[in-house]
Parts: sequence; C-alpha cells; structure tokens
Amino acid sequence: MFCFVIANPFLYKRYLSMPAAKRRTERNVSITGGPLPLKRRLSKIYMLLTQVLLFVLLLKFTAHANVTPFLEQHCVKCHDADTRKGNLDLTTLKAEYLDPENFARWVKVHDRIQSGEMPPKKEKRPLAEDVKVVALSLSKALMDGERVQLEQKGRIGMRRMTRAEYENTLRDLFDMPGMALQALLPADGTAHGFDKNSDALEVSHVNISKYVEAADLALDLAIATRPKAPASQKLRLSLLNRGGQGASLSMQGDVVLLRDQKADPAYPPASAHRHLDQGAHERIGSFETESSVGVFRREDESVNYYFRGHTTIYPGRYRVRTSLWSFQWDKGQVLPSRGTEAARIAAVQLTSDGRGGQHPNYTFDYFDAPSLTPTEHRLEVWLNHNELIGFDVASLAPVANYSRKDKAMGFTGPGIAVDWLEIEGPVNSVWPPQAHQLLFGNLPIEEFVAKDHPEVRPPPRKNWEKTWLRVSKNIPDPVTGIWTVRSENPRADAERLLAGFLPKAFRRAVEAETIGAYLKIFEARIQGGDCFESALREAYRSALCSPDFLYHIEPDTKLSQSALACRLSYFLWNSAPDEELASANLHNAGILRTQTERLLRDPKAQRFVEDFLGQWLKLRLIAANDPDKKLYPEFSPYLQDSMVAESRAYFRELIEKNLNVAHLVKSNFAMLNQKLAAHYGVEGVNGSKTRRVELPSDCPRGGFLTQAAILKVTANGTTTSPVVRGAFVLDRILGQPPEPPPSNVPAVEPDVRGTTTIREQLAQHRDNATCSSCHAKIDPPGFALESFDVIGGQRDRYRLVAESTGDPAPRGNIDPFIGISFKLGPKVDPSGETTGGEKFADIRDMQRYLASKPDLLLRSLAQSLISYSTGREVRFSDRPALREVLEKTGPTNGVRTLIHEIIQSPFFQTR
Amino acid sequence: MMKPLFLLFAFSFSAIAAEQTVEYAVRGLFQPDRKTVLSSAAKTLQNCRLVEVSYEKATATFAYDDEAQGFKKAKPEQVLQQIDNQIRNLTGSTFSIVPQSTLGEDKLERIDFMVEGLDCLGCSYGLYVTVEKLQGVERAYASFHDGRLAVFIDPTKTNREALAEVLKKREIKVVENSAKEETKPKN
Repeated sequence: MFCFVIANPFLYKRYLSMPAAKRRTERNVSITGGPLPLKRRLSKIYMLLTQVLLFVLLLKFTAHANVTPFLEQHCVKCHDADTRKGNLDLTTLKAEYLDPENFARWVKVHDRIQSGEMPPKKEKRPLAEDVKVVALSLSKALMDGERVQLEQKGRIGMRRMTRAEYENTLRDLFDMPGMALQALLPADGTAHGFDKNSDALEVSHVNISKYVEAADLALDLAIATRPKAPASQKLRLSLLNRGGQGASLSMQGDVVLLRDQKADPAYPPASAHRHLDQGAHERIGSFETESSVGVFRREDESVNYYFRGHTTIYPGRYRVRTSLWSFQWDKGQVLPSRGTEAARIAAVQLTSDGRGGQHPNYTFDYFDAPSLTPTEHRLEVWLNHNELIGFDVASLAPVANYSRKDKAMGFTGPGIAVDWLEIEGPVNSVWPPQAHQLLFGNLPIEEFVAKDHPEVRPPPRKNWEKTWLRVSKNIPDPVTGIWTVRSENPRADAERLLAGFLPKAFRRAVEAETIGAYLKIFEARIQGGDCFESALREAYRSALCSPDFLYHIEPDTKLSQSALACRLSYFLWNSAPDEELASANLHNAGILRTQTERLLRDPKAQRFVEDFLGQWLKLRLIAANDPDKKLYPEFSPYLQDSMVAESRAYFRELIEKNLNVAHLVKSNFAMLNQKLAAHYGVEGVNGSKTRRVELPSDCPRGGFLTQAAILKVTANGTTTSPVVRGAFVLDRILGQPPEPPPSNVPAVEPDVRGTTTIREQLAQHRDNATCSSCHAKIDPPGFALESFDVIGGQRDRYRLVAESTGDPAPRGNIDPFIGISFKLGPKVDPSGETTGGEKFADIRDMQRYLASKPDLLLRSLAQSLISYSTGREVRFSDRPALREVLEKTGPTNGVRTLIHEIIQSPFFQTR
Repeated sequence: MMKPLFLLFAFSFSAIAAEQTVEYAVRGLFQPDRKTVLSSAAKTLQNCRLVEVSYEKATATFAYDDEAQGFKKAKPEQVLQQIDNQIRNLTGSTFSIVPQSTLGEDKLERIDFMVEGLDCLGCSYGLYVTVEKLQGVERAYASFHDGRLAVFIDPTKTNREALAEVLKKREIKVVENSAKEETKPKN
C-alpha cells in the first residue's frame, strides 16, 4: 500500500509536507481509510468546483468580448468548418482554457496574431492597434486560465529520478563509477521532449521491484565480504587468446602475426594454402606467442575481436594499457601506412542482454595507431562482472580476405597492429573500499563462525567465482569462510552509521525520527535472527528504495538550500550534489554563480552535455537505424561515434567559450576528428581525438544544423525528407513545433529509384489547402538541408540504388577499399523561399537567415534548458519570466551566460 | 638396537627395488626438432625417466622404479598409462605413448607426399594428426622444413590412393610426382 503512496506523486507530496511525526499516522490512515470525514471532503470539493466554474465563465466573457469580432473579420474565412486551414476550425473552438488541448490551440492563435504571421500577408491587414488589443485580451485570458489549471494541479508534479540520474547517484554515492544499473530499470517516458519532465516519470509496481533489484546489486558491490581485497592480477593479453576469433581469422588471412614489424616466419600469413586445423595450432602453441597481431578486417555481423584472456570476476577498477600502430600491408610486406588509423577499445558484456556480445556494450575510447610507431595508450576503467575488453580496427574499411584466392598474401591495404594489451586489477587503493566504509564505517571485518552464533543467520554471499564465465587466463581469488563486519554495540553502531548514510543518500538533512524509522527496520531484522550486516543492509536497501531517495523532494515555493543544491547538481551533473555544493549558501547569488562555474568545469558536466543533447537534439536516436549499406557503404560505427562526439564537443565549446546562440546554426569552426573531417571534406585533421578545427569561409559545417549527427537522426537510413528535417529545425532549433500532420493525409514517401524528387512530391502535397500553411514553414529549412544525405555527407545529386538508371558515382572521399555500387540520380535543389518571402539558394543562405534570428534561437534554447533543468516545460504564464531571463542574457551573450541566468532565475529557484 | 635394524631393512628394500625399462611407440614425433621437445618435457617426469628416443622408429625407451608410487605392482598396461598420462600433461597432449606395433619394419610401406603450403609447425602438426589416426597408418612424419609428408603404412589395410583421397578432402594440395621423392626421415 505504501508503494501506492510512493507511486502517486500528489499523495506523496502531501505525505512529505507533514511533520515527520505525523507521517506515520498519515501512512496508517492512508492505508486504512481517508483522513477526513466524507462530508467535509465533499464540501471542499464543491467549493473548489464552484470557484473554478465562476472563474471560467468570467474568463470566457471578458476575453471574447474583443476577440470574437476580430476572428470573424480576419480569420474565420480560412479557418471555418469547411476550409480548416492548418487543421484549425475557429468556429467550433470553444473559449475554454481548462482543457489542455483547447488551451494549446488558443496559445497558437495568440502567437500567430501577435507575431503578425496571421492573417497572412496577402490578406487585408488588421489595424496594429486591434492586433495589440486582441493579443492582450487573449494573453490575459490564457494567463488567468493557466493559473486556475496550476492551482488545481500544482506547478511541477513530484519527480522521481530518471534512470540515468538513479545510476549516476548511486555511482557517486558509492564511488563505483562504472556500476551498470540503468539497464535493470524500465525505460523512462518523455514529455515535452525530456525524460526529466514530471509528467513522464511515473512509478509502477515494475519500477518498485526493479529498484529493489538495483539496490541489491549496488549493495552487493558496495559491501566488502573479505578481509583483504581480491588479489590484483596483471596479464598481458593477445587477440589470439583461446576463445576469441583472432586465431581463426589468422587461419584465413584476415589477421596476420607480425614480429619486428615483419610477417612472423613462425606463423606465415595465410596464402592460397590456408593454415590447417586450428585446434592443432592451438595445442602446439602457435598462438601462445608474443607476436603482434595485425588486423585487416573490421568488426561486422560475424566477426568481433575480444581479448578473451581476461573475463572480469570481481567488478571494480582496472588499469588497461595497449600498444598500437598501423601499417600498409603489401602481399606479405609491412610498409608505412597511409596515415594514423584508429582502434576502438570497448567493454563487452557477454551475457547481459542476450546480444551475446555481438556489439560492444560501451566504447571506452578510440585510440590512435600511427604509422609503424608502436604507441602506448593507458586508460583506467570500471569493469563489471563477466565483462571483457573488446577491440576493433575502427577506421579500416570492411575488407575480408577469407574469400580472396591468396588470402593475406594476395591483399594490399591498411592494417592495425596490436602489440599487446595489458590489464591489471581489480585496483583497490583502500580496503575495505570507500562504499563499504560509507555503510559500515571502520567496523572490523571478521570471520563469521556459525557454531559461535547458532541463533544468528550468516549474511548471504554473491558468489562471483561461481557465475564467472571461465574462458580466460585470470584466476579467481576466492575467500575461505564467511567474513562480515562485527559490532560490539549493534544498536549504537547502526544508529551512528544510518545517521551518516541517510543524509548523503537523501541529499538533505535528515531528522532523528527518520533515522529512528530505519533503525526500527534494523532492530526488527536483528530480532528476527539476522546478523549485523544483513540487518543494516536491509535498512540501507529500504532507504535506497524509499521516496526520500528516489524522488526529487522540493518544497512548494522557494527551494530550500538543499533542494537548490540538488536541482543544480542534477542539472549539470545529472547526479547528487557533492559535499561542497551541499554545504554552500546557494541563496547568495555570487556563491550560486561560483558553484555553477565549478560544476560546469568538472568532468561530471559531460553527463549534462550528453543527457541534454541526447534529448534536445535527439542524439539518443543516433543508432535508431543503420544506413542502407548499398547506398551508404562508407558508413561505419566509428563514423557514427565521431558524429556524436562532434555534437557533444561543439556544445561543450559553446559553453566553455560562452559563444552566442547564432552558433547553433552557423559557425566558422567545427569539432572534428580525422574520420569526420574526411567525411566533411575538411583536410589536415589527423587522429581519432575530436578537436576544434577552423573552417574555410564557404564551408557550411559547424553549427548543429549541419552536423552529421543531427542529419542522421533526422533521416531514416535510406532517404531524407525535408518535412522531417524541417519539422526538427522548427521544433528543436527555433522552438516552434509544427502541428502534427492530419490523420487523413498520407505521408510523403521518397522515391529511391529517382523517378520523382521529394520536392516534386511535396509540391503536389502542398496543393492541398490543409497542408499548405504548415508546409510553408516546415519545408524551407528542410529543402536547404537536402544538400546533406542520410549520414550527413554533402551532396548535389541524390544517390540511387544500383538497379536504377543513374550515372556511375565518383568515389569522392570514400575509402578506396570500400566497394561502391550506388548510382547518382537527380540533382538536389536546396533553394526555396521562407514564409517571410526571403529567397534562399542553399544551406548557407538558410544558415544566414536563421542566424539573423538570435532572439528566436535564444528563446528556443532557453526553453529547452529550463524544461530540462526544472522538470517542467515553459508554460504560457511563464512567458514574462522567460522574457526576463532572455533580456538578462541578451542575444550577443553566450550559452554559459544563459545557463547562469536560468539558474539565477525564479524558474530555477522555485518549484 | 632399533636403528641398525631399520637401516638394514631399508638397505635390503632398496636393493630389491629395480629400475625397469620399457619401449613404446611415440605419437607426436612428426618433425626432427620434436625429439628435443619431448626430451625437454620428459625432464620433469615423476618416478620414471626418458632413456632414449628413436626418431626413425618413432619410439621411446623409459626407465621406471617398480617400487615407486604409480608403478608399484603395476601391470604393463598400467605402466604405459602412467607414463602416457605424464607425457600428455607435460606436452599439452601433443605427445602420447602407445604400445609398439607388432608389425615388423619389413612389412611396412613408406609413402611420401610433397605438400604445398606446409609452412609452419602448426600446419605440420595438423597434417600429422590428420594422417596419423587413419586406419593402417603405423607412423607418419610431416615437416614444414622440407614440405614433406612421409607415411608408414600397413599395405594390407591402406594404400597411397586412400591417403591421397583423405588429403584431397581436407583441401591439402599435394605436389605432382611426390611419390618419386621418397627418402628416409631425417634425424
């Protein structure tokens, strides 16, 4: 039953607003029946309804005294029941503002009239004074209407943590930076473009059971179950280690063994005579060698490279080092390579999600492999149970020598060599680890001897050794016996430890009564026969599944010190505040500014960049489709990751350099690595690391608008649609989302055979009066973006499938080892005319046009940032406050200034 | 009084315990350098030792203490198994010990093949393993040093064509005229 209270934000809000002492009573009451007499409750409801009704009637009367004649004179001609332009019939649109759908329609009517967009320019213009009066009347009516709505529903509902927030919070709390919890929890919904919106964050019984599961896993990892850390092992691994595909690929020529940067004479490259019997080679020790492994073939559906010599037993921190270089292979000869190549190091979870390790679960990074120069790379990573290290020759083309007559000896092309990969760990700088110390302080860890405590149940243990996939060289270091913390004074220790833990977990000061409640859980378990560790663990588990932990608890009006610290840290770190932030006087504007700067500079701010862009620019959808391999053979996972890295690095640059919002659409620099630079046709960029690159003056790249990641998420993998991209620009960049298409109008399907262009199809579509008004706004930016294909490559002709009657395609920037079968079809026409009648020839004109609207861009970004950071969308009644934020920021100031002004505003500091 | 008695008893016992020698066929001696590998691995044999290896005959002579653990009162087949287990463990099962063939050398027929692309130890071993287990094959040699496969067969059970067929199935290419180049395996 209490779960029901947790799951219902409004009930829970009321629950929290009570003094702690009353909560228990209320909890009992809410479980067993209503706290108020029925008559009194009905009376309150009746009074509220009467007030609302009177208010609505008043609104309706006053607002529409001015509005109705104006609408009849200027608008109804096109927006009546017959014409319904833009799917709007004003003759039936009721002046009722409590209905959210109606309200939203009236907001659009207000905005169109106020901006002068409506009536259209070709129609008779209304007097400016009339427009002002009507806009003002509507605005007042809408403001008042929304106030009533908010009084009924509250400004922001109670918000639970998102999956990402939950995972980050526990990672930071326990100092376990790679602990994988997100995948255990159900996916979050989204509302108004963000998963942080309270409307999207429901809690079901599934969530509750998964929170219990996740809390258990976190506690399993956090609690030290042995007197000494598991022995750290240092292993030198090879892609040829038994169990991996490296050995079999060497048998068929996709991998070669190298010694002293030459073909290894002890294991010559596969030729027309492939090596015989892999098992025999393994037994005789052909792969137990210190030779470097040269790889030609990229990971694909049937090939993957894992360092199978190490499968993680004990989750924790591991140090990884590897030595890489690249070379040009010429039928057995090792020559200098064409340039620096890039290799991917990733974590692979073999059994987590049924994908069987076909793809890396997460990429640690891409590393440079310079020509014939072995280069050592180091990284410190967190590895979860049964994870191993994956590898790929990311920058190479998808060649395959197994089908070649002379195998490796018949191949000429680039390769990447791995001299070795060394892994060391688990690395524990202190024992017991920090997480354990947070839970059990410095209580001694001693062996639990059952016969000495016949009445006490020993703590359950997760057997990492038993569930380990034994396919590697690392060896388990099991502990003999059961080891657990010992307390001489259990109750006092439990109280002290809970008093230390709960404020950190709940991110606020915790009153003695709350500590007492958890202490009772502990005592009940002790009385039930649990040992000290199990009993206290149960109290911790309850805390981690409680609303105090799961919800962002904020007072109704101005945020308290701790609530403001939480809001700030969940905005910029997507996690709980650290001690410095939690103790700072954030109601002092200067200190708030200083702390904001500190948070932005911290590496954890990258979580904000990734989470915000993932939603604002839909980068989470980057892998939603794989581009057609025949039309876009140059696409690769490395290119995709480079695209995302660009957008993230670009946003980071906007913040760090405080660049203005015109940069959202136009810029003289881009954030590129070698792969993406080649894709864009920008020369002189080497290596896998993304860095700032100044662009030639005529280059359209730079702003988000023309970044490959954005162009990919707005395409379907085969074709582009000006409608989809145009709608994206309106919604995400300009903050003016178009109306959804009417249900009775079929979608426009681009034709990949090239008989008609998308523009021709859209022209027919727009002849329909219902469609034309929206498409007049949607299509122009979409047309300009037609200069870019589904993977963000610039084009002047559409690509067609090989079977069509197009022209042979030149190779351009495409890797010479990638086969091309597509053809070139009709020319792209990126020109058009904006709703304001301004003609544009191409994307550059469109960028100039959009960059000339900094107010619009600033407003759009501000709305998104406010929505993301506060968990609620910007409403109509927020517009004056929004205006104030925008005025303080100013169109020439940058994104960092905007972030500061939002944080300093009432938006951020009140609920 | 007890001490001299004990010494006398111990002396008598050691005098009774005798080192026995046995000769077995060895599997895994497919190339001359494998003789060194076997000798090196055999240094850590327990309670027995390698006395001699004949590459030409693919045999090895072992000596063991018939009073030592594992060999005490062991039947001949148990002695073989004891030594075989140790050899397998020490060599990753690339060597094994089996009883010697009862077929006299004069009854064996040698067949040679020159194999294309036989260029590494693993391939030599792979080829050896492919052939050595076939019915009628008494012993075989496959060396990547000279690209030669030499097979000693019981001609009543198999023949050159049968061997060639197996090689063909395994996509192992044989040089034409290799039948004429028959020589003894090198030491």
